Amino acid sequence: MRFEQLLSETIDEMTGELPTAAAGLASRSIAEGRRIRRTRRLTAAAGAVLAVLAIALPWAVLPRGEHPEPGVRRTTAGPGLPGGWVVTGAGTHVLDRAAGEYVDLRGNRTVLPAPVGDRVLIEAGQEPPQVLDVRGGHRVTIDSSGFAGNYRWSPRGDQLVVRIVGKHSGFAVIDAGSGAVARYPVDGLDCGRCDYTWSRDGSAIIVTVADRSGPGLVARLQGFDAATGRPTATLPVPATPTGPYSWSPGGRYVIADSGAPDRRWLLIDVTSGQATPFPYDAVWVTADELLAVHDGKVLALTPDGTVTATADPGVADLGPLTLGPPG
Amino acid sequence: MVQTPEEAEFSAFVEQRAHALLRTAYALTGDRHAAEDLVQNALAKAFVRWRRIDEPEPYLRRMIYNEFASGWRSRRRQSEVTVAEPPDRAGAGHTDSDTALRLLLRDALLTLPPRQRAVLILRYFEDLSVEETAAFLSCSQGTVASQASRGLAKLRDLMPQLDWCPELVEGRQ
Repeated sequence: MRFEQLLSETIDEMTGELPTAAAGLASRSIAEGRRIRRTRRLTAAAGAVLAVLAIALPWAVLPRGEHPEPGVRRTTAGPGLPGGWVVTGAGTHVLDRAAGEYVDLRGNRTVLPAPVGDRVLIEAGQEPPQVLDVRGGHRVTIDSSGFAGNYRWSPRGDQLVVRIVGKHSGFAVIDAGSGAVARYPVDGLDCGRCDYTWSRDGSAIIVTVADRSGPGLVARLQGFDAATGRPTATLPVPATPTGPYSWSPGGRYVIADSGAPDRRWLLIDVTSGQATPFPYDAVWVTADELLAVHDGKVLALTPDGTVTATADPGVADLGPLTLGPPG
Repeated sequence: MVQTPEEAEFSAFVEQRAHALLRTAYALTGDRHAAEDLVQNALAKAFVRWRRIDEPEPYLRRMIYNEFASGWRSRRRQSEVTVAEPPDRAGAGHTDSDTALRLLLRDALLTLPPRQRAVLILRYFEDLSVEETAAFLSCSQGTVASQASRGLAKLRDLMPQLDWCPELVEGRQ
């Protein structure tokens, strides 16, 4: 068999395992399409006003070329979020906390702001990834050979973790200041989706262990010491946490992705493994309050999933929102 | 909620063709959720001008490929390899089965830059010629040939296990 044939069969086999489309795809697409139409109408109207007035208005976007760096800026959005949390990014726009502005890093295929601080991971074209300050300073290039490209920031914004594939599969911890990479091979672990992420205190790297009784299932989570790469505890969590703030401050609860389309997000008691459905992917602000992003708004929720407040950060039209704690 | 005729037509199309589009997106992203994001993003943009699109499926496929190749980011920013019933993970020296090689190849494919991956998927999943791939991605045939060559070479480099499969090493650089 030729290598190209093996490649063809591999892709065909892989896509053949895809389950049916998630329910609601058409309705979600229509809703998003309507939003785009509304935005275009508003943009056209705003453009007409700007052409006449030619003055700087609050919230106005004044493009300065195709790939400005740093580019378009916006004043940071309206109401503060509970616990001093902020919208750290909206699409390619990243919050410059010191200046209170969003800086547009367009032209990069990945823009991943740290949850705290001012470091940003970017990937542009086929170049290796770089970590830089939001204003473009202190730029370091990462040796990304073997990286699967699924980067996750540590809770303090000083390190990233990424999956390594190939001969020495495992994970790598990247120092966001120096760009130094520590590679840790992981042997004998069937991690399935292999979403490496962090514990809330940043001391541990967490990865899923696959449950092969069904597609996309997770049996439990495996922890590794972030400083040494050595395996530590296993947790009875049959789902995938998104990031370090998916864990409650004490670490007892976690919001995680079950992979099931009908009850996708779960709140799981780590001590018992007991899971209850949760309406959204969410981050814990305190032991009693969580935040979630939904339809361009930031929702405050209680641990039982009740929405207690909704805030409009005013930047939803720039792209998907990411949240971070104060700092 | 009552749908307009445009929305009803759109919904019927999605119901019939969503899975085929998701397969394409999944081949590109290797991630079920990212594939849904990519397809939903394309569908939403297509809905905006639905009444002016004569052939939705080719239009959407082109949009999905070009969006991915131009550096599209999933809002989830995750990568995933979903395997329904894989064999036991193969260790070094035990990678001479096709199944084990395919699992390794999936991983290796995910490390390629988006444009290379898109070219390889079009060439070896969609079975398009170099000329058709170039037209699809609105680039030159030379670009397609070089991207495919680099992508295949990188995949071979990432799979030292091919050394145990002499019939597969043809063209190894």
